[in-house]
Amino acid sequence: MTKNNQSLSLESKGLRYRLKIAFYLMLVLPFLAYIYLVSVFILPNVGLRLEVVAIALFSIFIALAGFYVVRGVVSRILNISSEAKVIAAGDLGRKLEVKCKDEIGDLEGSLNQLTQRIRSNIDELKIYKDRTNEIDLEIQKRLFVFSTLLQISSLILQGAKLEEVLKVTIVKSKLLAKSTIAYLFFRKETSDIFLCKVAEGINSEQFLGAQIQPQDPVFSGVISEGQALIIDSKGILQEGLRTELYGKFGIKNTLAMPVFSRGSVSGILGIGNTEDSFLYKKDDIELLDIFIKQLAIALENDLLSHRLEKLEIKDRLTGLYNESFIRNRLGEEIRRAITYQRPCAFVLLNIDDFSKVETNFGPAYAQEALKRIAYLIRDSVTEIDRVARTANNEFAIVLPERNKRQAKVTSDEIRKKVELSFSKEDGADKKLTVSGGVSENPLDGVTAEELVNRARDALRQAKSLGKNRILG
Amino acid sequence: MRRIINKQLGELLIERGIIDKLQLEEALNRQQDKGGLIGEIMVELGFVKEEDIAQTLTAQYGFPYLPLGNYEVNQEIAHIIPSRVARQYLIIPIDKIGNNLTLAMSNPLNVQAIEDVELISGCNVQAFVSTSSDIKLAIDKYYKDK
Repeated sequence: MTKNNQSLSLESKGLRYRLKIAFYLMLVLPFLAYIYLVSVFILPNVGLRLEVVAIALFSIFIALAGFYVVRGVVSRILNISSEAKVIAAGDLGRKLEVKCKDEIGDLEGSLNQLTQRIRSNIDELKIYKDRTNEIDLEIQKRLFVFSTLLQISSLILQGAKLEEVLKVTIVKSKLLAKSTIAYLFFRKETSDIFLCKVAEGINSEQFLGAQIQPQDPVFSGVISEGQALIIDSKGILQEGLRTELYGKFGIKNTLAMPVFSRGSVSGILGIGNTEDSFLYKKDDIELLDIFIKQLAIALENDLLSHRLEKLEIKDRLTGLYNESFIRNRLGEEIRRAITYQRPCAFVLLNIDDFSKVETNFGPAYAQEALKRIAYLIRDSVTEIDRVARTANNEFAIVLPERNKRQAKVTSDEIRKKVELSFSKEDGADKKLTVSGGVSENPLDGVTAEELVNRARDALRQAKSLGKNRILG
Repeated sequence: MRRIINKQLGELLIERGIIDKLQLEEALNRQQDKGGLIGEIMVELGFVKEEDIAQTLTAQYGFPYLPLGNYEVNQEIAHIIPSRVARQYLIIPIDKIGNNLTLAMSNPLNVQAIEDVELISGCNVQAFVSTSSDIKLAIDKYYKDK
């Protein structure tokens, strides 16, 4: 029943259908009038009467006119409906033409307003999306810098070589600001000229080994005033510099900043690319600056560790002095000997066939042997004497107040002690011996170098004469 | 045949009444500050003459005193030892008879210097005492290189 009602109801039908129904219904009136006229005037006296036809036509015309008016209304509604569907499907660019100021015109206007509002909301959303993307990019950039900094710091902490730290810094710097190249110049130790030691990227061969004079037109500001250098497509005044830069290094844009060490510019870190139209942002400068600071720490660290090495005077394995210390000490003792008209002796001891021991019994055994010989030497000299390990299997002794004869006696005692100590070892290769060369100031010279050379000659001779002996 | 040396030069000079303890102390202080040999410092301070030192050594240890100024040294003999050894130890060989080398020394107590000379010359050394300035003059005269 309900179903029947529904199928009969016009609610579910389209406006076009309803319009047809309305038209049919409207036709009923002229049709009835026509029937009436025919039955009253024609049927009683058959014959065509003009006024009957005219009335009939007039009533049909009125019905058609009514239909036209209704159709006009309905078609506009239908038009709005189809436009609304298109808009709903996503075409927000559509705008309805408001023809009349009636209710349908209001409807069209409202729909236009609605579309406009939706469109502006979507535009706003787009702006938010772009901004979010920018923020996201920013976060990514910061994260990248942060992870790079961590990487560089951990390299520094691990005591990696400076070259490695520089390489990583350069590689990471290149990832900034669409760079195709990253380069690093260092001031030469003895002059004010800057030399490119590391470069990474497409034009690296043009950079590597290149030199910059302090008065270089492009880089002089960085070198003398410690300012950041920005060459990009912004400044017209920079055109000359840009041409110069392109001619020399094949890049059109660059951002370079000074690396400070001990208060002066010791290096220049830069990035660059070949884009025709490009601008460096404030961000790029900030990020490169962070890299520069890290680089400065690495350089300072390297400088300090080198200084520390210079300050180190002991050999780590044996606890004896090291080569540089003993050489300085020998020089001092010679000067003292000259002042006080005294002699001073120098001895070089070398373990015979030590490489065989290292090969046959491994580094651990070899190190133990070195320690043992170091002990035997220290045990054989006085408090004023100085013993050093000068090379893997070589020892040196400075014997103040001792002439060559006395030094040879002391050295020979050591030779005998070593021979005796290792004679108890199993296997011929483990029975270590030492050979020695002795020199003396003033007999063999008045400088440390002369004494070392003379002792080395004697040592060589001792080796060639069959080892396990002291000559001087 | 080495002489046993058990006394410092300063003590010997005090024993012989040439200097007093205060002077020795002053000389030692100066040595502490500026370095140098005690004998030379005392000469510089005017407490002793070079001859006093030479004669003290002669008297105490029996080294013969040789006034080098009057002595002509044979070039060849002088060059038995290199100039740097002569200059450092302040010594100069003045004569050689057979295997015996006569050596003028400002400090004949420097046994190591005598040993070194014996080592390079292969001779027995007979030490004579001379004043530092005489030996320096002789070295400058006979060794042309500095």
